[in-house]
Amino acid sequence: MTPPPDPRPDPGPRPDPVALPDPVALPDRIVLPDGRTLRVRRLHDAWRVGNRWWRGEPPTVHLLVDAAPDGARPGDPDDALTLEIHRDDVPDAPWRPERTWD
Amino acid sequence: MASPPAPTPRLRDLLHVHSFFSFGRGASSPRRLVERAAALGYESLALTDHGGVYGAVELHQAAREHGLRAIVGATVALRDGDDVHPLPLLAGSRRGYATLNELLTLAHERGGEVTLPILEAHTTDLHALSGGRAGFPTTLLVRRRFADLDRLLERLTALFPDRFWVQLYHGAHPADLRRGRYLRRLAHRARLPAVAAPEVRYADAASYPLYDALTCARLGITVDDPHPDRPRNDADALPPPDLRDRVPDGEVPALLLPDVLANTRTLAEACTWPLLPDRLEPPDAYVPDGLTPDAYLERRTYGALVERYAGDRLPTARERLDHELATIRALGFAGFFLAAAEITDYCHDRGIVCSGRGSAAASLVCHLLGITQADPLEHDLLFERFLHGGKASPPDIDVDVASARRDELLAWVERRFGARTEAMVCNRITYHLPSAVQDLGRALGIPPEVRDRLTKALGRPYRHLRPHQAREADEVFDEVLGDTPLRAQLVRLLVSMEAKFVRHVAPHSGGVVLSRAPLAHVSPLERSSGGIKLLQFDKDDVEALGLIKLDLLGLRMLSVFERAREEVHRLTGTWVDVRDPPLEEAVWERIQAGDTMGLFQIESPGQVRMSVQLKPRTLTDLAHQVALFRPGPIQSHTVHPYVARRNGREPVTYLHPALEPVLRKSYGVILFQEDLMRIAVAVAGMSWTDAERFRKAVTTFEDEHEIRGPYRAFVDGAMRHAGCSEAEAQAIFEAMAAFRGYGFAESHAWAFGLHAYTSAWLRHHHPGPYLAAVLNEHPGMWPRSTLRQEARRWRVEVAPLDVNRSGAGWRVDPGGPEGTLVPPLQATTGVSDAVAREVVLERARGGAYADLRDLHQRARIPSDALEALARAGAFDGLQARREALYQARALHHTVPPGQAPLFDPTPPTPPLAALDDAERVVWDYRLKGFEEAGVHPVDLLRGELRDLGVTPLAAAKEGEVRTGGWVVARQRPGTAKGYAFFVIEDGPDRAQVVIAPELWDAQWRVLRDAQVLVVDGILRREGRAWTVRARTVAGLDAPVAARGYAYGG
Repeated sequence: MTPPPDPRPDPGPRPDPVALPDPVALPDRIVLPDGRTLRVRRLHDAWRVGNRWWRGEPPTVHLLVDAAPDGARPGDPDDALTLEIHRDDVPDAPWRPERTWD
Repeated sequence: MASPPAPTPRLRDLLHVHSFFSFGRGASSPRRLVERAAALGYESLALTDHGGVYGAVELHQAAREHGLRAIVGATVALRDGDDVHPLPLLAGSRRGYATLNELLTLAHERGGEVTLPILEAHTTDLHALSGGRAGFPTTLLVRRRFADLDRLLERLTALFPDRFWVQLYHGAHPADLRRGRYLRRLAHRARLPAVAAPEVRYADAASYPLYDALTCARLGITVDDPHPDRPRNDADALPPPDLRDRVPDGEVPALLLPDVLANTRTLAEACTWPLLPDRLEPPDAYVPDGLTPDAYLERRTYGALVERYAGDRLPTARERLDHELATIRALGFAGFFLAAAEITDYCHDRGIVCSGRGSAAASLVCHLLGITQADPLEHDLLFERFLHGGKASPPDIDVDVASARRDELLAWVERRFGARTEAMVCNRITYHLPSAVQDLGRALGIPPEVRDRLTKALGRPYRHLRPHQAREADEVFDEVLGDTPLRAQLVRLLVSMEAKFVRHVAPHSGGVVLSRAPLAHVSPLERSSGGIKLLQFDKDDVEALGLIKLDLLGLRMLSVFERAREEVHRLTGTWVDVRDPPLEEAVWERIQAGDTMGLFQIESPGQVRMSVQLKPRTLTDLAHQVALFRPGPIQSHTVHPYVARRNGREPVTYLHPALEPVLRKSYGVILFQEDLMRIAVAVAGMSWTDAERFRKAVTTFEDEHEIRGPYRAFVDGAMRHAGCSEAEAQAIFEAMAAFRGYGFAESHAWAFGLHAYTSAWLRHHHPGPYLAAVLNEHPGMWPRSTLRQEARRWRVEVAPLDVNRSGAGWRVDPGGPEGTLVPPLQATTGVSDAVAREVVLERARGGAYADLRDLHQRARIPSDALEALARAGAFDGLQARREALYQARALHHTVPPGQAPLFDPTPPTPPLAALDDAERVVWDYRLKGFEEAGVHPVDLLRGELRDLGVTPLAAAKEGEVRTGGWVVARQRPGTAKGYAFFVIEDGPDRAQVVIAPELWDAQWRVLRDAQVLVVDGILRREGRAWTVRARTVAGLDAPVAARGYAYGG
């Protein structure tokens, strides 16, 4: 398919670029309620949940990750977990575990 | 050496975007979306609104300004058995665009859906995407209907060979990463290209609450109700090109893979073609065999020229005609003028009163063709305002038509010019504060009675505000909602709405587009709820597309002329010519005295005062007077200088000598839009094309930065061309910029001035028929009660409503100095035209009614209409009113209408107290809005007013006074700097009450609610212009409220 010639006239000056949001960064570690610290190894999924804005709540970011204690060997089934973690989408909000998937 | 890091993959093209033209499924304007996309570094944007291309012109205009590619498309609802799948379609060429429009037209005819057989016949040059999250690949996959998925995929691939694209999206839902990979594999398996097309519904994440609230409003739920169609998150915003807001660092989703991005770019380039401008051929007007449109136009106009311009006027007229014809010929517009003339010829042949106005009234060609009445040579009207050689789009010809016969004319236009080549322009209905409060308040769960109280309290002062100006109405939100979180949420949503947020579209009041080629080539066609065929574009878009539009507008005053003419003929056998009434001293004297009630354009209190101050003597004076009362002249402080200079109280001065030839006839002040153009040409040396563009910019700018360019162009030109100093040029520019807001075109004002005089002439010579016509058509601002009071001054008597005399319209019977007005049966609230006709027909068949029971037996009318007639006094000539009402109620429960029972089951009427005068008057006003004997509501409060020390208006002397009256008009125009103007009435006397902003602020609740106003202030009388400058006010309740006039906040 041959694209037609570009019919656009000379583009005018572009507006100033907008500030982009911070990228969603995988956390290095996650602390469980029982005090154990796990290192995040792998991402399975990521999503956002809309805020109940009418109650003043912020949106949240959720990740589905594999995590294991420091020193655990890959493939060791007993120590690794697949869990869902989340944080409020505001600066410096901590990651918290939501639930485990196995 | 380490190789440089690979660039982060990013989107450059957006292929699935919805604006607010998806009506509840999008929350940003096309312009805002383009601005945001450009700021984020995108290169193209495809608008794919549901069911329409309403935003296509705005998209192209904004994209051109920001250097983006614009792609036009739409999302159609594809029905497949029990399923309906959204299918985004993109136009690959102008031909594809025509295909899309035909498809959308069919969808509208079928309730918004198309089937596969229909789609099959409409795929030429269209590209189809598989749809986002609601598209069939995802929905069928989720329901594990793999066989249906394969079937539909195969079918659509066959319908769109090489033009079907599997759409990958990422809306930050769970499993979107995995689903993207699956869809890419699906595409690969089916040998189809996959494209990156996240679904966008608003420009930025901050608009998510608004979008969610609008979704709730559309679904009929509140924000506390879960619903599968509600957005799950704020990721329907225009995304950052690297999707960083939804994809963690280091993860590359399927839609950012190189092959997908390359396909996306290929599709974007394939669908880029220019929409603007498009030029249609003028419609097929009638042209005799052997002649071209230009030749026929020449023949008609020269033929009329020699008839109208005899003697020494002929050479000038001929020169002007030659110039206009040459311009029309060069631009190829002859067919347009001939089509417009065909329409006005039809009107003249069938006695439909019509009159061209607007800038067309400046054209000699229009005058000679009979489209307009104004003689442009006599009044030196500017042709270039209407048309000039540099004008890229056809001119507007506006024709006012008697409103009662406009539908008849439109039906003929559709028959004559063809169903596929004629349609009306649409009007974009945008949110104002009250409608936004209703929709968003409903979504927030605010109960309906509270929402209604809030919108009522916004009332006159605030109802014209846009939602984003909500904080200006803080006091109202305080009053109704208090300081609550709900109020904070509502206001937050309101202020986040864009200034002209479109809610829905409706037919324009008069814009008709005529074309030779089918209109589907430029727009889908849809039917309004009233059955009117509409384009999806408004008048500005239509102009941008170069479409040819004629405005056929209903004007009630022209219907008044028709009706009055017919009534005079019925009474006297004389046929009055309303097109060219003679100019008579007696008529001018009445106007000069401010005796202008019921007249066109000059009956308002402000115009009454203006008539007394200006004392118009000619049609030009009237044209000036009509033009003065517009935001343009008012805001530019033109009115007072004009009046003072006209009356010799102030010398005529000019900011620079170069202005004198332009502004001499208006005493040195800017009065008309043409003045701005003439100044731009005479002072700044602009061409007419640039002057027209300058005029538009100066009269419509909203922000200071919009006017910088025109300012510089004018000032530099004025210094160069006319030798102005910079200060002089700046002062002239500021005077023109202050003309912002609507100001009349001179030719338009002249046409309206002629109508004003015609109405005065008709009223003077035939007051009874004129008043009957005004009451039938109701063209003006005053309630029926005021017109009835005015009848006393015109020596027109008013007969009582009478079931044996009243007809189905106001009419005049002989008797009395100027005739007797007979009110119609449907002057009664609750009595329809059909009921009135039934009563009249049965009376003609069977003779006069003996009493209410007799009418009930003979005529089939609903019992509530019968009761209304009884209460309104229609049986007063036959029986006591209370007795009639009692009988109406009794019959309602015993005998069906139109039947004469063998045995009368109704109980005998007991003795009932007669209605006293006060009760009777109240019933009359409540049911009919007036009272025939002339008793006024203030008469019922005479004692109480006397006790308060109130002097009746008729007796009040100039100077300090306490007076009062029934409030029949309330105005608080936006141009009046916070001043409010009420009109109080006491019998046939009226006074305008001027309320300063401080008094308004202190007493606005009293002023909002008072039915009778008591005023302390200074009274002045000039002719019929009585004015009270209020110092204090107090309000009284009246037994009835006036069905009065209110506008302007």
